[in-house]
Amino acid sequence: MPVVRIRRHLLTTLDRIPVLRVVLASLLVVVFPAGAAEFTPTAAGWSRYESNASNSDVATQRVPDVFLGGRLEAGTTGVIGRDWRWRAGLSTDGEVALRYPGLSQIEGGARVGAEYKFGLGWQAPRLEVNVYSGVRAAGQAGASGLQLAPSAALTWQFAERWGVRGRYVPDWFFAEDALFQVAAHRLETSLWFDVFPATRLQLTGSYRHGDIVSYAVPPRPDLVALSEVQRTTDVFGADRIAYRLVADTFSVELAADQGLTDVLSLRAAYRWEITRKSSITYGNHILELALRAAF
Amino acid sequence: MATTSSNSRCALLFDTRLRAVAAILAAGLLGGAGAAEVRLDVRDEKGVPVADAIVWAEIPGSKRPAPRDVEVVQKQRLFLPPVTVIPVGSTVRFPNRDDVQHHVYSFSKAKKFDLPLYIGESPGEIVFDRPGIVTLGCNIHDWMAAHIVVVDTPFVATSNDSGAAVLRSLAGSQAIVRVWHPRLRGEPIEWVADLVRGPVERTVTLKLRPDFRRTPPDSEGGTYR
Repeated sequence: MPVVRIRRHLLTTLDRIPVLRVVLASLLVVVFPAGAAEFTPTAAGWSRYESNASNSDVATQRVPDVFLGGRLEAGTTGVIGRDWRWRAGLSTDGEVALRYPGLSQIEGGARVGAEYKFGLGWQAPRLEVNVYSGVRAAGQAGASGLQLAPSAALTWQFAERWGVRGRYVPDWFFAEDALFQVAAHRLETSLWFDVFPATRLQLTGSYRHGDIVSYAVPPRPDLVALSEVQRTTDVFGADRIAYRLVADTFSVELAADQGLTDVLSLRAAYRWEITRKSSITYGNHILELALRAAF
Repeated sequence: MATTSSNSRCALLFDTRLRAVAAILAAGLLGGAGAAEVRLDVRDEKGVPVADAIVWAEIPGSKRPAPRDVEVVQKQRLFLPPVTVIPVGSTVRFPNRDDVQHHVYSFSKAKKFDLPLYIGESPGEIVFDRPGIVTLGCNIHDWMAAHIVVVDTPFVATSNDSGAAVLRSLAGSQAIVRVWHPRLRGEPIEWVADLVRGPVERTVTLKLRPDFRRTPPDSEGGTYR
């Protein structure tokens, strides 16, 4: 399996690198950028409700949960010539699941990227390529690991109040346990509209194809037939089995951002997701309220 | 002497007529006042006074103002001042007092230019040789915006917090008066003011748009900030 080989290679390479030294050096570069780069720390805190935290296709087995999370990011942006920018950032984020602690997790990662602007001015389209990698410690046994998520995004603010964005994110998660290995591709497109100077509405549609972990009460011969890995877990109680399978997920999100001050903004979002694999279908309603600060 | 007396009377009559003709001509050509005023009350569509509206009057044949050398500074990721009014032919420098690079540009018809990526002193000076409104931007920081109003007249005023703007010492019978504001929708409002009948008073209503350059700080929502 190429994924297994990549994972082994990455973990071996990681072992050889003096991680602490690299992290400290990166932190110095990000916080004290040389030349004309700009240091932009951001912070966020959020509360999220998920109606189907267990990704269950049987209505009676769907369990909701509420997550409280936070994120800190130290980002730096610099200029390379007239049309190119570079970006680098270090971030840490974590979530606590109030009802099922096994879903809690904390992650630290680094991001590097480049951006090309097609011309002058705020109306010029921008192509941004980022690579993010982070190490995650999860509350659930075997769910910790290394994430690798490059992304490419094309953004075009075609009018003073309107803009569109398309994004492609392949995502790999190299977990300790094969149950939580993820290889996925996500395509999303957003349209935003500034209702007022400090109020933005954004509609996002996305399609994801890749691994998901669904928790169900056995016997589920249909899930066994479709899944690649099954394990007994106790996150949602002793009677559940987790199944890893490749599925398609469609989602629609409506979000509203309200600028409160020059640095603070409030975000409220609702997302509806539906995941399908053959005869298996489940949905999820997600509500999120976030407070963000960009300095 | 009778002849001398007659000559004196003729000279006096001629002088009186000459003065009358000169006065009529002056009244016709110069509007009779030579120091007319246009008093404007600038308001938005809700009737709220609009400050910082630029008002100027163009009078055919009036003396052109001398060009000036001015600076529009970039400081704390803003252009300062946000609006600059200059006579045609003036030279503007754009020093960057920030510790990050800026890239000043304009797409405006009155003056197109760009000064790519610099810190410190202005890499060049731009001569604004056509009247009009020039909108400045920074290609690095999309929220940065400023305007240069290039006028071909010495008669310029800015509305105060009460929305009042007065153009004084207008010498002429007619003037083309223009009003503009950074948030005005479309072209400057203009009309011809008749200066012959004394001071002109007028309320100007501007259709202003909100300032959408400032958006919520959202690292994922598409804003460049």
